[in-house]
Amino acid sequence: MFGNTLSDYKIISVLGKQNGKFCTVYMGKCGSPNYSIAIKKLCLEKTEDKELQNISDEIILTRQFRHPNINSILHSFVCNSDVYIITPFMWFRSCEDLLENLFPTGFSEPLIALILRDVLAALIYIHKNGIIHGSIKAGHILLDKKKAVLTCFRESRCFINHGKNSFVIRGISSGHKDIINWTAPEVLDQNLNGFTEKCDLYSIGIACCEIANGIKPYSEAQPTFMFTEKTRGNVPSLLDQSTCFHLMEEEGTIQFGTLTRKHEIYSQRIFSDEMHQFAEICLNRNPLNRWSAEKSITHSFFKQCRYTSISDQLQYTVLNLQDPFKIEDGALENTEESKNRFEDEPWDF
Amino acid sequence: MPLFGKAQKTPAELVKSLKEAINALETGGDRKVEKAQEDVSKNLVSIKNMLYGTSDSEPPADYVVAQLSQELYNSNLLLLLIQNLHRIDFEGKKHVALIFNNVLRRQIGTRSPTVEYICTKPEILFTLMGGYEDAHPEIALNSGTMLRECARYEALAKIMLHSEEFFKFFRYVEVSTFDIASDAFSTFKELLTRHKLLCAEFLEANYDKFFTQHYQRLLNSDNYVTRRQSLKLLGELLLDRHNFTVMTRYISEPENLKLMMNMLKEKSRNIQFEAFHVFKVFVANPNKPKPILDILLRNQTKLVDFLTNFHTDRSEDEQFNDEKAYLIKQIKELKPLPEA
Repeated sequence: MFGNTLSDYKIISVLGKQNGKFCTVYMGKCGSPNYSIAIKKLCLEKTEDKELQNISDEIILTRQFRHPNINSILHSFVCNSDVYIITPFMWFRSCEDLLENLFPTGFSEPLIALILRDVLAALIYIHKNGIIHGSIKAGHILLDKKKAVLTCFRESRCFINHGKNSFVIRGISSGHKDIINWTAPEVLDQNLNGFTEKCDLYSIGIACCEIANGIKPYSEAQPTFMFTEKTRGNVPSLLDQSTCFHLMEEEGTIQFGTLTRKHEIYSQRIFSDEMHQFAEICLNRNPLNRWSAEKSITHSFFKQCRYTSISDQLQYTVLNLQDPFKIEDGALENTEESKNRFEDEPWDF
Repeated sequence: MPLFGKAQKTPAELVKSLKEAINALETGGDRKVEKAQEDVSKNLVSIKNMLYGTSDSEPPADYVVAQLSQELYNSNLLLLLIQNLHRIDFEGKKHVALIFNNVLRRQIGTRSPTVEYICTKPEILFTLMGGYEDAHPEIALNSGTMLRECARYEALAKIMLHSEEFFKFFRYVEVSTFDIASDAFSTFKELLTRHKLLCAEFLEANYDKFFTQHYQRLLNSDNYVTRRQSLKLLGELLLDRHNFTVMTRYISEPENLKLMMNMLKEKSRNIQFEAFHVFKVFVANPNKPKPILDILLRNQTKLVDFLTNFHTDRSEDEQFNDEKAYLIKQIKELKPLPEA
């Protein structure tokens, strides 16, 4: 069904770039029913050998998953010195994009419940397969009209190695600055107790605050401060009437500009007790006190999902827009050729 | 006996029922196949849980694992599972790999009974290697995980290296699907690098077939990843002291030197860099044969100029800069052999 050359795909627009010029994501179509796809182009000439290994490891791992809430890889192929990864196109892209562009103060509670329920469903499947996701955050949750899907398995770790189940994982995580703020304290501890799949639940708690508040966790904090806060059990909170009021009082002064307006929105809304409780359970310092993914999905916070859907929740804000994001037009650019080209005379054999 | 629910099947019953289901899967009609599929999945899950334990059950008892393995050997089920891997459903395929890898690592004292068993049934290995064939791309990655586990055991690696099937890897590593090709390459690399003495013996005995007939093709592949990875692996193989004899032979052949000198000028900087690490061995060789020396002498000034301007931005890589300086010095000092 999926071809191995670029001409098998129709590139429609550029969706974004990551890490400079190393990775570009396009929206495209392929096949006779004009199936919408996302095409991720990774420029291998700019990757080290280790990174090349990571890329193929991630694809191979993702290929081992088949679940409606996991972003599947449809195909991957090499063309020139680039590798192309074909995935289904997710209409609203990542939660992080949506927050930045349309929801500066976060999503509504029902939408949060819908998203997290889908992520938990994916997590149950992943954990059953003996794997930890390791980097759950708004940027790694994609949305379309029907569902949320989990993506990016770069930081994943397996419990089962060489035919043996270890039940606990030890050792360091990559500690990449893009994910470390979502990482559970027991992973950051890097001690001999190791960590288990419960670390993903902690990240869900942080991500819950992230999509509820529209603020990246610890975005202005130093890593050491973030770490000591987590170790002490201090965690971000869901900003609403119950929490924001104290915040304003503590600060004592009234700030002007967008911050005050944001605060006004925060201090006027109310998140349910269930939601506060859910986040609290996820963000428990002790992994043993956190619920498993399987148990979490039965939490009463998710009751509200029954009568609504993602498209219901988003229709007034986003669905009417033809094009939720400014999509740049753009044909596929050619990879810039390496400098250092030697056009001189040939060797003399 | 548990008080509630069905009694757990014994290993013997599980193996028997799985075998029947697989046979039905192989031969049955449409409706039968559906039922068989279900039975296969169910039994595979039970066996997997028996071997690995689940989060809320006790870790498996040794005698259960022993009994299960014994049944697996006697019933020839491992081969049957692998032969029918493409017929088993998606999750089931993963369970087969998990079961296989767990049984494989089984040890009694210093013996590995499963490894011994597979030695008597090498067909298991050949079938697994065939998993990379285009016919069933959906089993390639599952076969790969099992093959790499097998490659960790010298006895099994030996069988695979010395089989005709091994040379098919030169085709597998070049397939168009990136993840399958990468997976095949890691298996290929594991087989060639894990057991140093075994690999050295193999490369010496099959030098012509391996390097001249096959490896050359990988280095000239159209696929960028294949070219880059195979060039890097070549460097690793040649610089491994176990492969000294092979290295000596490789660096005495002028064709190889020409190839590397051309690759130094490839437009990909990564390939240039890897080629440098093979090229340096030719120059550092204290006993250069005449044809090699002749090529270097004919290009003496060009090489010095070229290397002086080669990857000058890698100023932080001390080892690279030392090596480069050494090569330039060596090439500058090259003198023709005295006429005999």
